Amino acid sequence: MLSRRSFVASSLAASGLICASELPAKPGKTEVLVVGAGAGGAAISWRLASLGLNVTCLEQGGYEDYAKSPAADPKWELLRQREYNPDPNVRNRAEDYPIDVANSDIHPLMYSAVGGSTIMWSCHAPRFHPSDFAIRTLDGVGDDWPIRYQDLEPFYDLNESISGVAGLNGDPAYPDSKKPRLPPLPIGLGAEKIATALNDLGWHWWPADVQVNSVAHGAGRGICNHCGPCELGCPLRAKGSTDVTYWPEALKSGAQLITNARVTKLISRGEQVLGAEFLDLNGQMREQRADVVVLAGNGIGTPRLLLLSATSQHPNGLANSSDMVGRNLMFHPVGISTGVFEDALDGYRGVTACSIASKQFCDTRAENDFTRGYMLQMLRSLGPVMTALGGYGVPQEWGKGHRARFDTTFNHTASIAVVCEDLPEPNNRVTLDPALQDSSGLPAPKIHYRVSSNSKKMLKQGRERCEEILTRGGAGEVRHIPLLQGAGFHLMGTARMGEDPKRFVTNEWGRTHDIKNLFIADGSLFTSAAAVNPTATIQALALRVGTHIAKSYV
Amino acid sequence: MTTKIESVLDALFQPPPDWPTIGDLDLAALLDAELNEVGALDSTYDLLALLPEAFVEQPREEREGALRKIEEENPLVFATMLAHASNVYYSTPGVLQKLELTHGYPARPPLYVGYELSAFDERLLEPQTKGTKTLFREV
Repeated sequence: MLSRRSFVASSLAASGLICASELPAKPGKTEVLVVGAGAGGAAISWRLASLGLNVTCLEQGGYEDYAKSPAADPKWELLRQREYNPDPNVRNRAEDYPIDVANSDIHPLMYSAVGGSTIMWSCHAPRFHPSDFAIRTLDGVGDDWPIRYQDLEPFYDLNESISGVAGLNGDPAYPDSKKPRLPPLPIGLGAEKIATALNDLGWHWWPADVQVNSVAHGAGRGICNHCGPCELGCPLRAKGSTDVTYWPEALKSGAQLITNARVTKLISRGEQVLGAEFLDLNGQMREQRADVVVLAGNGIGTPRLLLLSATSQHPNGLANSSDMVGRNLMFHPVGISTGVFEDALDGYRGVTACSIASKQFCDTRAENDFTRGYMLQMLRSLGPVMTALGGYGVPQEWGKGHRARFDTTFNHTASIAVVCEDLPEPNNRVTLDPALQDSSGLPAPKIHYRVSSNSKKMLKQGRERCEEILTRGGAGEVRHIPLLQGAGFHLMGTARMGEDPKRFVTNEWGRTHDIKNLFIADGSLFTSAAAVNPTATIQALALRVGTHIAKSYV
Repeated sequence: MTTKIESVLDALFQPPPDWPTIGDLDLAALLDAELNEVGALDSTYDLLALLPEAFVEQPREEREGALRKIEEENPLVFATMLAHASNVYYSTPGVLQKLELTHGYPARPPLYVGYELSAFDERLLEPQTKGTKTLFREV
């Protein structure tokens, strides 16, 4: 395995990689400033740099040090609960910011580093479906996107070519096309049982689209060895986190990546943004000027920064004349159902959080008491510690019954996640917390979020479907987690795109309606949430926004 | 000499005769360190102080009964102790080696060796592709 330093030295041609504290004191100047080096920020930085623009990206975290990979540590299941917990409130690193979740049914998860939350991502990367872009027209709820599936399709293709997606063409849940695909990953014994049950029931399933190298793909990257916990980061660089996909290429194309740079606010004058102020590791305030600024700080970080950037001319925050910045926060409410099987399923082998997915119930159906729908995503099983803690909702016993209960459940479970399409609601929102602050003294985000009655009905039906599937597959016992509180990985909708400047923050190109040289390239843009994981769509949108900026604004 | 915390752990997990004992695994010290790290050491020892004086000498069945009583009276503190006890017990090499023998789960971290898995068999998809209409809605 390459150490971080040797990977950076040998693969990144890293002349553009610099820690903020090593910068000269004089303010920098660039054509395009990108804030955030995660899924969207990496993709757009690469796109802009490869099209010849001068790009600088500010990232509050550092480059992930895979030499310290927790997945290679005997205590990996304990590290996952603490230092490598996806919840920043638990992880509590200096580069994280705390989040006030006292008023939220779901707790946001994220990671601050080059690669952002793709470092801790389970790498499931489905595309949205055509109907996901037109839910107002089709179903009378939410809003239509200002773009269609066909507008994003070439950028999905481009993203998948670069990132590497294991999967299989021919899925009847999508328009027929030749998507760039690596061979599908093995699905494992548990998913085979579930797939057989879905076949028996006449319901859809397909191998999941997973940003993982099933074969060699991409310079300096390895091939998946099915070790399991992708969420702890992938030292093999088989997973398509953007620190190993887009960033090496972006740096080779001339992009500058400044790490350990905490942006405190955007600098604006009138209807123009001039750049950003940021703190380095030593707490020294610095400045980066730019012709164009792109925010890619995720669906919570981006509205937080816009709200932090209020001025006398923009008292409610930058780009917020609509009062829509931070509103319409959407997660994917998730329930989990787990079957206990007589056979050993070796569920600790392979990508944990996705093997196959069913889109059977993703769309609106006349017979339902809710609108839109949910995806069923198969999960493998957990290690011994998490099993003993009752992970995925299978309670354990202590005392006399402990040994037998553990032995009949450990390595004998397969699970299904019910991933619900959240609808946009203005009261679900991100604001600035009046008391809680990050380690630099900046106001933390405060989340106001309640699971809707529509989503609750979806979760209930999803549970019933899972019970049917798992029982049909041979499970002797089925357990449910009705709503997983700690499943807020998907952060969407807080600066939505749409034509009407009174109702939406950006236009169809991710440009804010109020500030003509300010763009957004992350999940904040999502007009609606669909019932599938957002990363592929975040990246496709970022590539599209970047292409537009390159053609039109510089 | 068996300590109270070892007797508690033994009653919680009840290792079979051919498994290492709690004392063999030096689990009491590990649990103390774990509880201390998360700030739950004092509350746990306050809880265990409620156990009968003769607890250490009692047979497992009676110790389990005493623990169930304090669980009923202090469910949150007990649950915290149980969670951390599970953390240390199931990440201890001696227990992992037993799991390797009984479950085939390798007593090593996932990396860097990884695991073998059979390739995906596309024949499983035949019912999905035979005569299936498209599932997506046209816009």
